[in-house]
Amino acid sequence: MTFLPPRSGCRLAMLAFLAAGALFLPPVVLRYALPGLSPFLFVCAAVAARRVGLPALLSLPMLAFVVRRRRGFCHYFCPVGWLVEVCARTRASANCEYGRVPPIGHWVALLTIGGAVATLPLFLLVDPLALFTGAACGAHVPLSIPQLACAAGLAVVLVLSVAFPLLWCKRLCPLGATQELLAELNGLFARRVSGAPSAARESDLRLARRAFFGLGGGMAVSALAVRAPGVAASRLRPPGAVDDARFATLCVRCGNCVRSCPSRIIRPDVQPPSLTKLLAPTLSFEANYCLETCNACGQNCPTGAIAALSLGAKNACRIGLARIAETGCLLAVEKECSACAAICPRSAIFEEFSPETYTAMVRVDAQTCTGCGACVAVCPPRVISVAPLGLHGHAGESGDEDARLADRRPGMAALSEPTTG
Amino acid sequence: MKHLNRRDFIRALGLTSLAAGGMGRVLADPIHEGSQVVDGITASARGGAAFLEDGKVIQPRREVPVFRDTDVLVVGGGTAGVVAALAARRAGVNTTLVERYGCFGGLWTAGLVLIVLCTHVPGEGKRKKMVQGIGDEILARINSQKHGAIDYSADGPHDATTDPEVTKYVLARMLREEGVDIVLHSWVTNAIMDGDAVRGVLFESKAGCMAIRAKVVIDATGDGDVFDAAGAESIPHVHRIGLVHRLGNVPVGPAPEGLNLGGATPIPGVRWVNMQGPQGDCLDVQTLTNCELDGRDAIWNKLKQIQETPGYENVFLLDVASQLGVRASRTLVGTQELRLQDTLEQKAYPDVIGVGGTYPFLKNLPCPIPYGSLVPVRVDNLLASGRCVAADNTMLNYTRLIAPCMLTGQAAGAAAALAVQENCTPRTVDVAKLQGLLRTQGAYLG
Repeated sequence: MTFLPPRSGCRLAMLAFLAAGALFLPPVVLRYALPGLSPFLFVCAAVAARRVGLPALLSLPMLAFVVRRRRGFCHYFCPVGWLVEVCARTRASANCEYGRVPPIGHWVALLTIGGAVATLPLFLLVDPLALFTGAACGAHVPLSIPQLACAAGLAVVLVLSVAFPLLWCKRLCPLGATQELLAELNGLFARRVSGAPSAARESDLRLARRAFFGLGGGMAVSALAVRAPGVAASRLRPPGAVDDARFATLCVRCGNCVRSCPSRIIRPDVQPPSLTKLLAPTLSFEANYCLETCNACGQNCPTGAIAALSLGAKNACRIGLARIAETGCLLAVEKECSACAAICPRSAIFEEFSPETYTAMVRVDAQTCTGCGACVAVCPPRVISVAPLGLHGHAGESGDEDARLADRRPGMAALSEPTTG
Repeated sequence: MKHLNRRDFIRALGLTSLAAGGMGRVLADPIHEGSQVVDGITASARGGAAFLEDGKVIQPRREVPVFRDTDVLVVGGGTAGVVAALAARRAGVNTTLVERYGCFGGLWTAGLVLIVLCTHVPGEGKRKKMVQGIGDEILARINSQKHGAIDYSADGPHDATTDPEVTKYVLARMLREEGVDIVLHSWVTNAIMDGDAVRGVLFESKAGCMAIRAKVVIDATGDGDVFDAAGAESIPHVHRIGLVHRLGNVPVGPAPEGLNLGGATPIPGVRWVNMQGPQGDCLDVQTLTNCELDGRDAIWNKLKQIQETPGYENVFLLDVASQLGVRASRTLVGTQELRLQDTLEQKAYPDVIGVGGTYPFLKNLPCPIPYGSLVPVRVDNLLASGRCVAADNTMLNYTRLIAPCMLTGQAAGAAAALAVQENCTPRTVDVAKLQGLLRTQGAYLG
């Protein structure tokens, strides 16, 4: 069919693969496929998370391929590129020369890679593959906000492509730009090796200048952002999430964690403390808690924003710290209740009796509590909340108080835990 | 060594009949100077005094007089024991109920724990009553008395609170109407064993130690005293020990901040105040003594604080519970244990004997209770009911409440009666027949 762009077979196969992955395969498939397929996503996520996982098995061959074949991914695999070209073909006569438009994609890619070096991959979430899978995945479950956001992002790209055919691919897409940069680098390297006349070419100089300012700028911005005051977490994140500043950029808002959570406690953050954290997954324990039998969110995270932890490691991982308001607790007003202590999977809630006031009170052992949230929903007067962890893994303001309580724990434990006889 | 001779034995029997039904007998003869000289009380029922042997205290070995033979013996006249006795008697067997104090209801009345929790589950708009049968019949009868109960209803939003004296009266009336043989002021101290089978119990009273022989014994002691004596496996627990009290002359309206005025009772101006208390071993007499003394001090200290509050100067301490608020001591190792996880997953028990209402940690779910949680693993002719049934560390906070005690009590009573009638042990009772009997007694089994 002449309407179809060149090399449609290959790209339709990719589209079908992603659609199948989205519809039928468990979300974990995308954890491997997504960064594996997009060199931009892979390079930035690996550099930012300082970790190369199993997806590298897919990524390294793809990386090698795009280094040797300029824009190889765009030509053979990119489903968004194919959609953009289909859109472009509706305007066959339109002008597709954008020589005077600055190479925004290059800047975005360089800034992001530079940012990743300082652990904040600034614009990771405009990766077209992330947008595409975020929009396409989980069609079998009720629509989620990140999915709609990704779909909206993709729609913007496609509408833009109807108005300005191929502008996205040629000038804006950071994934395409990454491939170009890699190919340029390879060309430079090849010329060096072959010993060809080394007269500095104008394009090489331009590239070097761009790389210097782009990478440097990205590094500087993210280094400043990481050190900026007030970046301590103010939101609960899924277990194994990287520190909050990094999380906001490393998370591509694909919604995999939201979809994979069986207790539905992971929600896209619609009221973030800052705009950069919009729609990043946060936790709500109103109805359920982080099950000790589940580590799905990390296993399904494509970028490592949530570490893929083993079940044991996830259960040891601290999400936050439960806090029990003294006023309102039923035990404090002598009512029969031990719901929180009863439900706590780690026995981190214990009773403390004060001989002076002759009253009992429940306390949280800060050393044992992981902030799984099991106690929140069972509390009849709803006076338990989970406080997010601060920068160094300690809960916010009164960590010292909790440490003091924890010291008192052993004696209480000996009393409160039954011995089988 | 002194053996009990015939004369001593007759004397013992005479004394007991004096103790058990004796008011009429005493009143039959004219009383002079406020008292009357009767045949002398001796230490004969004890087999003589204990003596020292090499510095050790030795009890004399002797034959223990048998006070009574019965089909079903219920030990403990608390909620579970009373309901068990009623269920067994209604099923048509001779039933004896032994209680250590002078009234029925245990912690519900003498312990002043007046609210009957977890009788219902939330439904669409209105709550649904789970605890039916004898337990609900008792509540209805209490409610029919003036100032008997508040918040008692089929589907109302609150749990019923009862008056302790009305409850004591209603429980005693019902037991007497059914013809349950009642033995008060008697503390069961030991089991009579024949291999792994229980054949009765020993109890202490003012008349010394005597025996009651029974075909089936129901341990409704709360502390599992009987199954422990019988050698059944149990799990010891440490829990909070409180001491409940009632305040009188309490002004109507919300309590000022920081002042705990407890919950309403059926009597206007009277409120009952729960106490959590310290954790301790409820089987240790020194712990119980300390809790009793410290608890009373704490109550008076809190009362002082209330009386110093403007508008509350005339609040007075009406009474302090005559029983300590023991929450958990021993639980049975049963053929099946009631577990939190199973309940949250709504595990279906083929031997379900009752379904209780919900409780905060049950997330609005009802609580089916299996027969296996009443049956000891090894010991025969014995059933547990009430607070000491087989339950895990969390679920014992459920089974210890009044409404679940009604359920396990009724099931134990019905099962014991069936075992007597079918001439089998409680362990081999036909569960389908038991469930049928419970249903005819009005129980809801889901």
